[in-house]
This record gives sequence, structure tokens and C-alpha cells, in this order.
Amino acid sequence: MADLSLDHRRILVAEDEFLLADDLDMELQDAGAIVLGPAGTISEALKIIEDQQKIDGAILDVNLGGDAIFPAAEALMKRQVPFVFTTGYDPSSIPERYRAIVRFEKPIILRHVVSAVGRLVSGEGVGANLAEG
Amino acid sequence: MAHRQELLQRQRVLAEFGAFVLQCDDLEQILAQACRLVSEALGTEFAKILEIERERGTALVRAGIGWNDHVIGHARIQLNDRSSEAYAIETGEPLITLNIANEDRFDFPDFMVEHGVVALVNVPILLHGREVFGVLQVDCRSPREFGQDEVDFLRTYSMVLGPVIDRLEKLRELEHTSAIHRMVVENARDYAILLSDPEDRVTAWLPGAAAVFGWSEAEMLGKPASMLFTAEDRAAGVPEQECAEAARNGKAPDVRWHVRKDGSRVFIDGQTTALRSSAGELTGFMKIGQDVTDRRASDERQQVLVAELQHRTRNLMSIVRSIAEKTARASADLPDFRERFRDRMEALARVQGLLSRLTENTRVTFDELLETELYAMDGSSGGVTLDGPKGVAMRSSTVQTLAMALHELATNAVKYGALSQAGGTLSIKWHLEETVEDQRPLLRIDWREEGVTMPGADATLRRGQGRELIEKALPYQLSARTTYTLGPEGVHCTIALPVSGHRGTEGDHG
Repeated sequence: MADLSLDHRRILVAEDEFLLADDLDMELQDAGAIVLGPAGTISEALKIIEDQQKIDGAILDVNLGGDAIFPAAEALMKRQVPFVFTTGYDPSSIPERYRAIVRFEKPIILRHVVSAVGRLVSGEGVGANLAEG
Repeated sequence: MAHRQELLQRQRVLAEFGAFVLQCDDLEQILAQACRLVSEALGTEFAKILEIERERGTALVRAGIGWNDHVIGHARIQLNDRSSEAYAIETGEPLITLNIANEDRFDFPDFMVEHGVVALVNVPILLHGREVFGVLQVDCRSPREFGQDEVDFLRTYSMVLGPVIDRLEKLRELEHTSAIHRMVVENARDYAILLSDPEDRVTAWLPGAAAVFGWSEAEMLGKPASMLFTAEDRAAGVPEQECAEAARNGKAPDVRWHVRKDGSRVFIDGQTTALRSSAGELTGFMKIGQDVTDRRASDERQQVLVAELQHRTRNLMSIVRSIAEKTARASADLPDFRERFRDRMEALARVQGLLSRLTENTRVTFDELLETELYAMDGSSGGVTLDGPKGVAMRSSTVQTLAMALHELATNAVKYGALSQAGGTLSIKWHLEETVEDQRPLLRIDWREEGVTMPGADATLRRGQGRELIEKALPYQLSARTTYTLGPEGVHCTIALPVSGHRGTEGDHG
């Protein structure tokens, strides 16, 4: 594949369901990315953001074991790191402030999520929210 | 022509009647008085007032003088083309019968004949808009020539009577309507109804309001209605905003939490309506609201349940796809894939079965989970010993992952381990370990297979999902600590998993 947008890019994954986190991990690695995490809890996600000097993008599950991901989203916005949301809940559970963030509804299509992150990282827009499933 | 004396007397009668109706609001009394005075003025033995009953086609004797007891309020006259009353009503003009013996146009009712009536005059009584109320009638026992001035007097008298009846009928209707309104309002216990003045101080506090808010009428009269709002809403000026909106638009919704006398909260779905005088001046507010606290709580519970169900379904789809993917990667060929995939789907289905049986306050316990999985091993659980307490409650968010891990261990034991050989034994022990305060207790599980003749590399958990679940998924997803070793006699696996500890005490998130 000629798409090298994720090659050597450092992508944070926050997802509490192990199997899904593992899927994203592998899909990203297949695209050449370096995966930070995956983080299964909000505190792990925040720790990675704090520790890592360079983060190019992120895939954030909106709800991690009952905790909202928003503190991590805030930290990334502050550093101007682009990211997408994944969620198994109704979109109305996402505050107005994040309405502009691209979100994927579970069950997600892995390659769509990964290519959306690739476009964000390379500075392209990804267009409207893609409701899947 | 009448004598001057008689004219004066009739004028006096009219004046007396006028004075009487000013003091009296009782229609029966007024009609009786009217009959008495008119018979006196004209010197007749009888007088009566008949009211039309349109639905029945009759007229009822409402009041009278000179008649026996059973007549007033009981006797009815048929209104047809043989009745003099119907004729008078029809034409709107007085009708005089000099002697009923010579009258061939009309029939006369029995009670009048029995009373010896011979001569009579019918004068229609008109209400507002020329609607006919009934007939004023004077009757004599002897033939009588009624003079024009007498008929004119009766006509005048009837003209006075009409508006008086009209006013009292309307008053009676109004009283009836307001009695019904009052009854409705006082019996509407589920609705809090109150009135307030333009400054929003309570001026009427109905029983429904007392039932909903707990304050009595005496406690609330004169108090600001804003005291029913929550402290937050009062601080934010919500009561004033609602009144202002009602004053502006006529109405304002009031759908929010309010406070009862005992400090507890009640969710009101209601409305504030501005009250205005006929001149348009604001006279106060009417507030009507229903206590929907219970309904709201149940709506919220439904919403949470639906959201959780949706989440669980979406999650499950992701897991199924992921398992398919991983199984495919580890399978030698399609029949191999088919067997492994079906096996895992069945395990997943068993967990869903366990979870779906749960009611709101119960949890799946570890022994249930274990037994469900071993039972599915088709009776090959002969060499298995179980040792541990019953009733260790699992957080529902942990059940699925743990069940899948147990399934992988059991499958491996059946195919390659302790349960695949005659001499093999499997011992599963577990206990609950209390930890320091603020930490969840740990469920320690010890899975040990012994007496297994190791056939070689195959005896390990197959590469891929099985071992990965134990070594990676349990720590990642459930914060468990796990070990997995392959000893000379078989598999030994330990799992230390934080649990809720007690059955039915914990709310958690999926």
C-alpha cells in the first residue's frame, strides 16, 4: 500500500476492551505506526500523554471502564494533537464542546478508523462524522 | 276603565314586587310571591307560573297560589295545538278565555277543571332575546270579562318577571358551574394548584398543593410561592423569570425539581398562568403542576438500561468480530476454524445467558460461572475437584472476560490436558482474600492439572487467544495478576482478580 501517512507515527490508543485494543494495535502496526498504549484506563491514558514527548495522533474510546475520556481529550487538545473518538454509547453522551471531533460508533470498522487517523496526522481533513454499525 | 283606586293598587303591587326581588335571590320564593301579588291585585282565586320543558313538550307548574299541594312542582300541561298555553307561547301575546265551557279551541287540564276554573288569562314570560320561559296565568272560578287595563297590567308584570327569572337562572347556572369547578379542584389531589398575587405571594392553596408539598393552607397563605423552588433555582432567579414569562406570554412552563416541606425534592410538571382583570391588569398567577417524580425516576432508569443494553450489544459485536479475526489467524484450515470458532461462540453465548438472567441487584457468582463452563464440557469433568466458597459476586463488567479465559483453560484441559487422559486430575481452588481498606477484595483462583503425560509442545495452550486471554486480557481489562506455567505434570495457572466481594451490593459500569 502506498499510504505512508502513519509510517513511524506515534499513535495513542485508549480502549478498555482488550480484544478491541489489540485489534487497533495490530491494525496500526500494520500501517507502520508506533502504538502508545493501549491504555485501558483514564489514568493510564493521562500518564502516557504526560510521559511522551511526541504524540502524533490518538484513538480514544469515550468511556473507559465507566470513566469519561474527556480529561485525556483536553490534554491532547492543549498540545494540538489530533484524535478521533470511538463510542458504544449514544452520540448525545458527548458534550457540545467535542462535537467537532470525528467519532466512530461501535462496532467500528478498523481500517476506517485507522485511515481517518492517518489523514488527521498528515493534516488532511476527514470530513463529517462517520456513524457506523 | 279601572277605578283610580285599582290602578294605584296595581302600581303598589309592582313596586312591592320590585322591592322583594331586590332582597331575594331565591327563584322559588320570587315566583311564589309574584303569584300571590298578582292574584291579589286582580282579585282572582288562582295564579300560577308555568315553565316550558322543551324536551318533554310540557309545561310544569313552578309556582302558584290557591292550588292544592299536589299541583305546584308536580302538575304538567301538554303543550299542543289544543292547549291555550301553547297558543300564548306561540303568538307571544296574552290569551284570554272568558269561560272554558264556551271554549271550543282548547282543552283544559284535569287539575284546573277539578279546581273549578272557569275563566283565565295566559301571558307569556319572555327572557333575554325573546326566548320564552313560560306562562303567567290567572284563573277565576266564575266567568270573567278581563278589561284591557287588566291585561296590560299582566303584560307589564310579566315584562318585569322575565329579566328577574333570567338573572336568577344565570346565577344558578354559575353557582352550579363553580360548584363543579370547586369540586374538581378540591379532589384533584395529584395536582398541586395554587393562586398567587402579582407579587407571587400565595392567595389560595388547594388540597392538591398541600398533598404534594406537605405545607398546609394556613402555613402557605401570604408566603412567597418561590419557597417551593430549590435553593439553586431561587438563587438563579427562576421563580421571578417564570412569573415574568407568564406575565408576558400568558403562560410559562414550570417543569423542574421543587422542594417539599420536609426538604425532600419533588419533580413537578406544571405551568404558571397569568391572571388578568377584564381591564387587562395583572391580578396574579395560577399555578398547576403534577407530581411526576416516580414517573421521571422510572423514565431515567429505562434510559440507563437502554443505553447499557445498546453499549453491551455494540461491544459484543466488536468482540465477536475480533474473535473471528484472531481465530482465523490461528487456524490451520476451514474445518479447524469452524470447530474453534463455534466453540468460542458457544462460550460467549453461555455468558450472555448468565448476564441476561440478572435482575438489577444481583450479580453472577464465581461458582455459577465455573459450573456453567464445566457443565458445558459434556460430562468429561470426571477427574475434577472444586474447592472454594459459594456466592463470591463478580462485577458484571468482568464476567465475560473471565468466562472466556476459563473456557480456554477448560477446552485445553479437555483436548490436551488433564481431562484428555485417564490418569489426569484437575483441581480448581479459590478463596476470597481481604485486602487493605479502600481496595477491592481479591478472588484468588488456582487451576492445577496433574498426572498428565505430556505429549509434547501441543500440550500448551494453543498459541493465540487462549494464553493471550490469561496473560494479557485479564491484567489489561480486569486488573488481574496472572501466572501461567507448564509443569512436568500439566498446566498450572493462577489468577488474582479484584471483585466486588458481596452479592448484590455494588453498582458498576460496563
